[in-house]
Amino acid sequence: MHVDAPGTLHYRRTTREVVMRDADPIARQVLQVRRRRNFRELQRALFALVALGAGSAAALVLLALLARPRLFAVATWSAGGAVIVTAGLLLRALRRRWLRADAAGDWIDARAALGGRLSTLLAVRDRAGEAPFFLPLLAEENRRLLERWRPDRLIRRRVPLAALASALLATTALLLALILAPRLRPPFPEIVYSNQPIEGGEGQPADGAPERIVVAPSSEGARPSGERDRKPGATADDDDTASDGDDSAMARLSDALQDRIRRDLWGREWQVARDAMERAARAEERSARRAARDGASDDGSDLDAQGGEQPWETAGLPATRRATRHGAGGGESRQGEASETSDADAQARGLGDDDQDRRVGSGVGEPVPGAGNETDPHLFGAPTAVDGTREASSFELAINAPVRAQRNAPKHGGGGEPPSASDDAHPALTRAARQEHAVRRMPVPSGYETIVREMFAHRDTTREAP
Amino acid sequence: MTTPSLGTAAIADFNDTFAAVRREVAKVIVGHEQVVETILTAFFAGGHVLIEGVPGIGKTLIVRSLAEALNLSFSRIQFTVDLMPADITGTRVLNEGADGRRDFAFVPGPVFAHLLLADEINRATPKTQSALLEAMAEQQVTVAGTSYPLAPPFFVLATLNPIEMEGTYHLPEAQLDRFLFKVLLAYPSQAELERIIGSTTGADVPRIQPVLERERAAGRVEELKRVVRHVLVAPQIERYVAALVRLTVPAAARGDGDARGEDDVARYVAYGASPRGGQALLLGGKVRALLDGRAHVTVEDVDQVALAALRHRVVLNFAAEAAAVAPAQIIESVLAKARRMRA
Repeated sequence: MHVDAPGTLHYRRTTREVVMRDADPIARQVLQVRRRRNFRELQRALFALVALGAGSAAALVLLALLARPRLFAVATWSAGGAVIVTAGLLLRALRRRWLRADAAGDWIDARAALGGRLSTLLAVRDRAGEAPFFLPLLAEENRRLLERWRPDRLIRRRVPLAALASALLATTALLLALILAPRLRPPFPEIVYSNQPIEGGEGQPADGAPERIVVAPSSEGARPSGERDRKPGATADDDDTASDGDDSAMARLSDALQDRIRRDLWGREWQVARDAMERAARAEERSARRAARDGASDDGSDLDAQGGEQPWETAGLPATRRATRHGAGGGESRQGEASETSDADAQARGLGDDDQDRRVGSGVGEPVPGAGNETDPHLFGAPTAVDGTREASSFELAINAPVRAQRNAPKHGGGGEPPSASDDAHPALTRAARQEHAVRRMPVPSGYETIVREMFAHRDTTREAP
Repeated sequence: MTTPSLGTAAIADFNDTFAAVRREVAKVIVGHEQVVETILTAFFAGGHVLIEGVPGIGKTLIVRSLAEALNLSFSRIQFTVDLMPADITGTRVLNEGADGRRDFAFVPGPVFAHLLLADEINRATPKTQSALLEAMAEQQVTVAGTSYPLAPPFFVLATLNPIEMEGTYHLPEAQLDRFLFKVLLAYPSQAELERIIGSTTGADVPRIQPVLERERAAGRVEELKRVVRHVLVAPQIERYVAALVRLTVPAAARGDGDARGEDDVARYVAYGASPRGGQALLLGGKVRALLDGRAHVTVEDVDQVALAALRHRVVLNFAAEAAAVAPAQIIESVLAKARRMRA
């Protein structure tokens, strides 16, 4: 055919409305492709974020349970930074992969090999003025090619399986970490009570997870050094952090996080053991300081100076030492001077921290028992605290009648001179007996708790007086 | 009302005419298919072509064959150093009528033709070369204050002889910029040379059959040129073309180039392409799109004509001459950079 009639094309122009009507299915399909693609990309980003968050949380939980505080702090902040950076990268990737309306044509063109037909049509159909001469042809070509770029052909899967799998995997890992967390708890240390001061070097650091904790009277001040140094309102975590030599806000935050995770996942038993191990660590510090001193002062005189009110300390012992002491046949528990408790006892002991605090606060800066005209209201010890909410298999009864076995021990109220033994008749027994110390607490089986409390309870006389 | 079938018919008509002309030219031009196609592309895009090649390889024959195939008027000007502008545009002569009255009458020069071969254009003085400027850009000539329009289509095909440079005048950049494409006519290969010798020395000399009717040829060509103009161009293609042109400009290349200073444009180019370069890219791309049966331009169409459209518009500096860097290398690096930017 000949195309002549110079000056103007002899073809009559089509109206833009006709072209738009023809292009409607194309525009609808472009919108469908955009929605499918963007929904998929949104899912991919969300799944990746879930995988990132769950994976990080799982790693954080495991680190909180297994790692030392310093390692946990480093790992936490590193993981936090990595998570933030990765999340930013994920969001940037989402923004880059998000199919905008003005880029949809190019993207579909490239994917479906349309040779630029769709992008050109989408670009020129909205131009003002008369419809271009070739626009109907372009619209027709695009309509013929609609099948080639159906949404389900361009984006085959509605759900990004790889991202979904990674999210599920990370979530499963987190759940597993939470489920297995109680099993990751270190063995609860065995608690042993002793009435002898802890010798230097026996204590273990709190993080060393000792298998045995000895509760024994302190030969030093009435208050544990850690408590003396602690500022009002400070917590044990502060001391723990300070022991690492880093008291920055970041370190405190990571310590608090680790503590919170352990407390939530390991429960109150771990908290009790942790407190005991902290005290063991503090006892070790004091033992070291005491060894550094000249060592001239006598333990008994110290006790007298405190008015007979001894603070109690704990120290962790490794399993090997425990075996050694038991193997020597001189086990204190067998001699009745110390007692061992089960895990349930440990809980009861933890609840008994209040009693210990009361003791600590009664000897320093307060009247000596028996002073004044009236009878010492605490002659038989502090009033028994009756707490009906406590449920323990056993409890410990405070015995406030220390018996001095040492000859040079000065007399004071509440004390008494033990009967003298004949050194000639039983020298070995005499030596052993004179080395004994006062037993201030006695574990009582839980079955006898009600009876024993009733029998030994004494009321606050000052409150009962008319 | 236009319908898709009419658009398809227009494209088919263009392709048929284009292929017929190329087929007829190929009867007498052995080889150089790419050159002929580029010349025809520029012709239907409404531009002019500068051909550079050694003497005797068929430059004049190509133009003459083209004119015969299209059945358009053809004139040839051999540019020499003593050629005057009036020898190109025409002049006013004093005529004496029968009644004795004298008046000036305009005698058109050889520029008044559809196809004009400016042979060895660099042998004329710049003043004479500039006589073609108005004709090429505005398709009219002005003589003694009077403008005379040139009948469309007007197509200038100038040749340059790269040897025998003594006594030649380098074409000014403004003149070069008026040419849509510049093509290099390479020396024929052994096989082509054998065919040329054989076909031109025998008894049966091949004759070109006109593709268009003489009376309607000009109109048909103009119609096809208008079809080219209707080819659709998406905004992203226009952005790509603009980026290509900007990348040939040294100042822009220094701004966009990498910090290592390895940008060839910044190092070797003195002046980049003008906006006419972008027009050449897009018009050439439109013809390429039609030849591919499409009603819209793609990046590949633009890339195909980039070398011919930008080669003579990129002015190299002394560093390029010292390093023997050809404009084609610069264009290739610009294209590679544009593709990277687009990806």
